[in-house]
Amino acid sequence: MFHPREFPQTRPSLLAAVQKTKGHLTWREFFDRYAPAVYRVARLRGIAPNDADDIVQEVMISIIARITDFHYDRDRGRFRDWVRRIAENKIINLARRGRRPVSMPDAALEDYVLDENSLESLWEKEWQLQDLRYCVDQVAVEISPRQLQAFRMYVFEGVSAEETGRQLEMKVGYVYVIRNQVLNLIRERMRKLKNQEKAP
Amino acid sequence: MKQAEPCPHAAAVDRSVNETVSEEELTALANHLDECPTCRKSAMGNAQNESLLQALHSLKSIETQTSVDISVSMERLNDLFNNYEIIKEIGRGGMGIVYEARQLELDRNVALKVLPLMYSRARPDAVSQFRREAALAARLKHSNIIAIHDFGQIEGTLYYAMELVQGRSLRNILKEIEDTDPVDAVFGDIVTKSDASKPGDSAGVEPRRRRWPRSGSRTRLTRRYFCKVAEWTAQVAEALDYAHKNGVIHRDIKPSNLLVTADGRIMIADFGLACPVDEDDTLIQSIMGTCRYMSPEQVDPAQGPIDHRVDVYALGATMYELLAFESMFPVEDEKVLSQVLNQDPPSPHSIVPEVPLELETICLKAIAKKREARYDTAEAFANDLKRWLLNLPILAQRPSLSRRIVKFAQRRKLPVVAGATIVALVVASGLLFAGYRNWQKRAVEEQHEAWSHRVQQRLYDAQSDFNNGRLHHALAKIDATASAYPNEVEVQIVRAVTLHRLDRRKDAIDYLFGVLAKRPDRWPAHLLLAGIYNELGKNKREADQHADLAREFMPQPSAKTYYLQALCQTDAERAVDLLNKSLELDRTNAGALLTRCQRLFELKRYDAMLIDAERVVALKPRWAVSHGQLGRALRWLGRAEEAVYALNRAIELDPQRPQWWTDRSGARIYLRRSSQAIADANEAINLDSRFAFAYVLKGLSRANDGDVKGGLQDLDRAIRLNPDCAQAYIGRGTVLTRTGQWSQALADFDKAEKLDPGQLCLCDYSRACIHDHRGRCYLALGNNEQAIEELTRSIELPSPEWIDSHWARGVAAFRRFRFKDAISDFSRTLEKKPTLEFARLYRASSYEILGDYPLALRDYEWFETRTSTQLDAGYVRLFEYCLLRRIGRENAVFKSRTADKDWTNCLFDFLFGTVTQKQLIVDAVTDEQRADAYYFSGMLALLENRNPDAKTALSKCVALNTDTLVHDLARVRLRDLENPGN
Repeated sequence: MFHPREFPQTRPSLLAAVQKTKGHLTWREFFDRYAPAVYRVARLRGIAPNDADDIVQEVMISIIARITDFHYDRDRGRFRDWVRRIAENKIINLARRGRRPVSMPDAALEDYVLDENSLESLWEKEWQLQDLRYCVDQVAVEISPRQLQAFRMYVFEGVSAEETGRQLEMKVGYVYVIRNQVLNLIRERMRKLKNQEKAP
Repeated sequence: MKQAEPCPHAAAVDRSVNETVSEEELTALANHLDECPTCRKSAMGNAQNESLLQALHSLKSIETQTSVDISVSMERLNDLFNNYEIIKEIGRGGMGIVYEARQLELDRNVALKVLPLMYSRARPDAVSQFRREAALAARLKHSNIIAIHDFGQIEGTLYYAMELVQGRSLRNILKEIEDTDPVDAVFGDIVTKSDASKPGDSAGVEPRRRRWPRSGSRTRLTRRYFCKVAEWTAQVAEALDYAHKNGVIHRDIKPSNLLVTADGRIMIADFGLACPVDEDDTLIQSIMGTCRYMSPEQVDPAQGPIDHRVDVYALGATMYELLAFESMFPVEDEKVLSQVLNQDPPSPHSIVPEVPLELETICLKAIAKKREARYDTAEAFANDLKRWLLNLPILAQRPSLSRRIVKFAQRRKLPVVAGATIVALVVASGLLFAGYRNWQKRAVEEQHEAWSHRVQQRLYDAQSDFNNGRLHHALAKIDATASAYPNEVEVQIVRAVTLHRLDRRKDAIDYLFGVLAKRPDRWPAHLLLAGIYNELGKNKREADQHADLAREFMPQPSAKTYYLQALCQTDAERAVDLLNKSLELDRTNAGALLTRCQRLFELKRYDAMLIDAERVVALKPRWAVSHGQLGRALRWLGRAEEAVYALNRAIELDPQRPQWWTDRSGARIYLRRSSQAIADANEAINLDSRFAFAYVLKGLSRANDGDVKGGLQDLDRAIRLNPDCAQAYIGRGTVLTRTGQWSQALADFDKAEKLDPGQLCLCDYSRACIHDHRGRCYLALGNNEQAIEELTRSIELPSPEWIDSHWARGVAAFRRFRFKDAISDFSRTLEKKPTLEFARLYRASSYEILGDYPLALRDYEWFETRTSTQLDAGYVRLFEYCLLRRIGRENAVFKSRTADKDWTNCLFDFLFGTVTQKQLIVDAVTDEQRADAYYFSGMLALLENRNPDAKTALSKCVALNTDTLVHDLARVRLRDLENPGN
C-alpha cells in the first residue's frame, strides 16, 4: 500500500496522479467517464447546454493542467470528489459571473449553493449512472453485434421479446437468455468497478 | 402436474440468470425456453434484474451528450490546414492523433501529429516548451532520427509533421517476442515459416500465456540476435550523440519511440517533443510507462539536474528489455518509482542465461543509478557496443559486487569511503576474477563487513556525541541509525539505552514495546525493560515478568549473548565483565571489542582501552573507527604524538567524518601545535558547519596561538550553536583566565559543571586543567583556601600531571603562610620544570622565611649561573643581598653590583644608600615598581632595625595589592613584625 512517507524525495505529483487513476484509463476514456457527469450535474442545476459545455471543457482543462500537480491526500478523498469540487467551483463561478441558471432566474446565489448532503447525493447518483453507462459501453463491445442488437431492442427500445426475435430471426427464448446474460455481464463489470474504487 | 414435477432445466435456467454460460449452453437453453413456459417465466422475471433494468432505463433517458470533444475531427483539421491534406488516421493515443497527410507544397506524404486543442489550452507552459524544442529538433538531420519537417499551432491546435516511416516500433517487436520468440520477431522476414514451427514447439498450444524464453526452444537465441540488439542500440546511441552535440536531449527514449524500418534501420521518433504528459497510450501508462525508462534524476529532482545522460539511461533501459525480455521493473503500480530510485534490476543474464556477459556489462553501465557511473556520452556507449560487435575488449567494467555494496551503502545514505577502499582492495587483489561463486561469497562477506562497520561507526559517533555533551545529537544519530537499521538488535539496544541515559525512561519503554510488538522474542528488549522497571521501582511484577521472558528467549550463553547483554548494561563495570566473557569465547568480534573500548574509556582504564583498541586495529585495519578509538586511547594516555598518527589513519580512511578531525585537533592542541590544530578544526567545521565542538577547539587553538580575541569569538559561536555544550564553556573559561577575567571564567566553569556534572565529556587531563584554572581564578581573586582545594583536585587526578597546579598551589599555600606545603609544591614543580624561575624564587623566599638559609641561598645562587629569560637575574640578587646582609655575609659575595635593568640598578643604589627612599618612590613608574620600592624600603628599615619605618613601608607595599612576590613577602614580613612569636 502506498504511503507518502515512504518516498520522501519523489515528486508527489507523479505518485499521486498514479495513485488516483489506478486502472488503465486513456485520456479519452478519462474524458468519457468524467465529462458526462459534469455535464449532467451542470444541466440538472439549470445551466444551459452551451454553458454546461463550457463548464465541461473548463473542468477537463483544469484537470489536465493540474493532474500532475494533484496532491494526494488521504483525507481529501477520492479523485471523483476532486473532480466534483472543481466542477462545483466552475458552476458557482459561472453563477457569480451573472449567468444565472435558466431554471432559477430569481434565485439568490445562496440558494443556489446547495448544502453538502444534497450536493453529494446529486453527484453520487450521477457517478453511479456514469459508471453504469461506462459498463454498458464496455459490455457492448464484448458481446456479438447480434446479441447487442437484441439487447438494445428488447431492453432499451422496449420492443417485445417476440418481435425482437422475429426481426432478428432468433428464438424468443434466446432473447431472454441473452438479456439475462448481458445483465450479468453488466453487473459483473459494476462489481469490478466498485472494487477498483475501493482499492487504495 | 407442472408443480409436482419441476422442469429438469430449471436449475440451468436459474444459473444462466446469475452466471455467464457458454454459447452452446445458451442455444440449448434458448431452445428449451421456447418450449417450457415455466422456465420462460422464471427467466423473464427475475427480481435481481429489476433494479438494474430500471437503472438502465433511466440511463436511456438521460442527456449526456456534450458537444465538447477532446480531439479535433478530420474534417475540421482539413479546414484548418491549408498545406496538408489529411489522408487517414494511422495512430492514436490519448493525447494525440497521428495522421498520414499529404504535404501539398512538396507533394510528399508525412506523418502529422496533432495534439488536442484542450491540451494546449491546459498547459500554456508546455506549448512554449514544445515550440522551443521542436525548433531545435527540426534542425537535426541524421539517418537514424525521424526528421521533423514542420511544426506549429493553428488556432490553438499544436501539430508537427515528420518523416513518414513505415516500420514497427521496438514496443511492437517486444510484444511479438512475448508471443512468439525473439528470432522470429526480429528476423521475422528472414526466418522461414517452416523454421519457426518446429515439432515440439509449444507456440501454438497456448500462445497467450507463454513468456519466451521460459518455455520453448532456447537454442535459437543465438549470438545473431544479440548482435542485432547491440547494433540497434549502437545506432540509436550514435544518433543520440549527434543530437546531444546539437543541444537537444530527447528525454523520452523508450521502445515505442524507436522504430525499425523495413530495411532494418532503427529510427528515433519524437525528438525533443517529449511532453510532460506524453501521448503514450494511457494516462497511467504514460506515467508508469515513462517511469520505467526514466532515470532516477528524472523521477526525483533532488538527485540533480537533467542532462544528456538521461538518454543514455533510457536507451540502456530499452536495451535491457531486449536482453532480458522483461522490463527492468515489471511491477504495474507506483512501486516502479521507488524501484527506479532504489533498486538494481536483476542482471539480464540471470533471467536469460544466453545473454553475453560483456553485453550485459555494457547495458548495466548505461543504467547506473548515478549518472557519473554511466557512459559519459552516448558516443562512448555506442563505441563500447561496437567494440563488442568487433570482438574487441569492452571498456566498461563489470559493476563489481563490491561496487554494488557501495551503491547499497549510498542508497542507505551511508558514507562511501570505506566502500571505496573495499573496491580498491578487491580490484587490487584480483580476486574479482577468481570465479563467480567465490565472488558471490566474498560479496556477501564484504556486504556484511561494510554493514557492520557502518553500524559500529554510527554507534561510535553517537557515543562520542554523548561523551562530548551533545546528548541530543547522540540521540538524533541513534534515531537516524535506528531508522536505517530498524531491525538491528544492536541499534535497538543502544537506542533504548541512550533514551534511558537521557532520563527518558518512558520513551525507552515505549520504544522497547514497539520493538517487541514486531519481534516478541527479542530478549535484550525484555532485559532492558526489566532493568528500567526495576529502576523505577514501581512495577516490580512487570520487571520480573520481563526478566523471566528474557531468560526464556535468551539462547545458550555465547559470545553473542554476552555481547548483547553488555550492550544492555548501563553500568560500565558490569558491561566490561560481560564483554570479557564474550571476548573469551570469540576474540574476533570487533563490535564487542569496540564496545569494551568505550566502556573502559568511561571507566578511565585507558591502558586496557589501548590494548583493546590496538586489537581492533589489527582485526579491522580498514575501519576508520578502529583507528579513531586507538587515537582516543593514546590521547587520553597523554601520548598525543601517537594519537595524531592513529587519527591520521582514521582520516585517511574516512575523511568525511568531522569526528576524526576534531579528535586530531584536540591531540594537536595538547601538543601545542596551534596552527595545525586550527587547520583540523576548520576541516571539521567545513564538514559540519554546526559542529560546536569544532569551534571550541578552533577557539582554544587560536587563543593558544595568541589570537585571544578571535578565540573568544569562536567559543562564543560554539555556545550559540549548542548552548548545552559543556566543553564550549570550559574552553571559554580557559581563555578568560588568560585575559584575567577571573569571575567570568569561574562562571563559565560552573556552567559547564552544571551541564555535565559527571564530566563525561572530559579526559582526566582536561578535568585537571579545569581544576587548575579554577584554582588560579580563586588564587587571583584572593580566595586562597578555595584555590588550594581546586588545585589539590587537579593534582590528585590520575592524569598526566598538570604540573602548573603545583606551582599555583604553592603560591596559594605561601599566601596562606603554609611555607612547608608551599616548598613541597614548588619543589615538585621544579622537579618537572626546573626552569620555572618564579617557583624557585618563591621557594628561596619560603626557605628564607623558615630560616633555612643555606637552601635559600642555594636557590638564589642558582640564578647566578643562568642568563635568565623570565626574571632579571639582578632582581633576584636583591633578595639574595637582603638575606646575606641579614646573616652578615654581604661583602663576601657581592663584589659588584651588576644588573641588567635600570630599575633593578636603582633598587641596588637604594640598598647601598646612594639613592634616597624618596627618590626611589619618585622613580617608580608602575604599581609593581612602587611595590618593589616600598618592599625594599621596608627590608632596609628592618635590616637597620627601624621597625616602625619598616611597618609603614611594608603596609604601603601590601596596600598596593599587586600580584607580585614582593607583595606576598611584605605580607609575611608584616605578620612577623606584628606577631614576633612566629
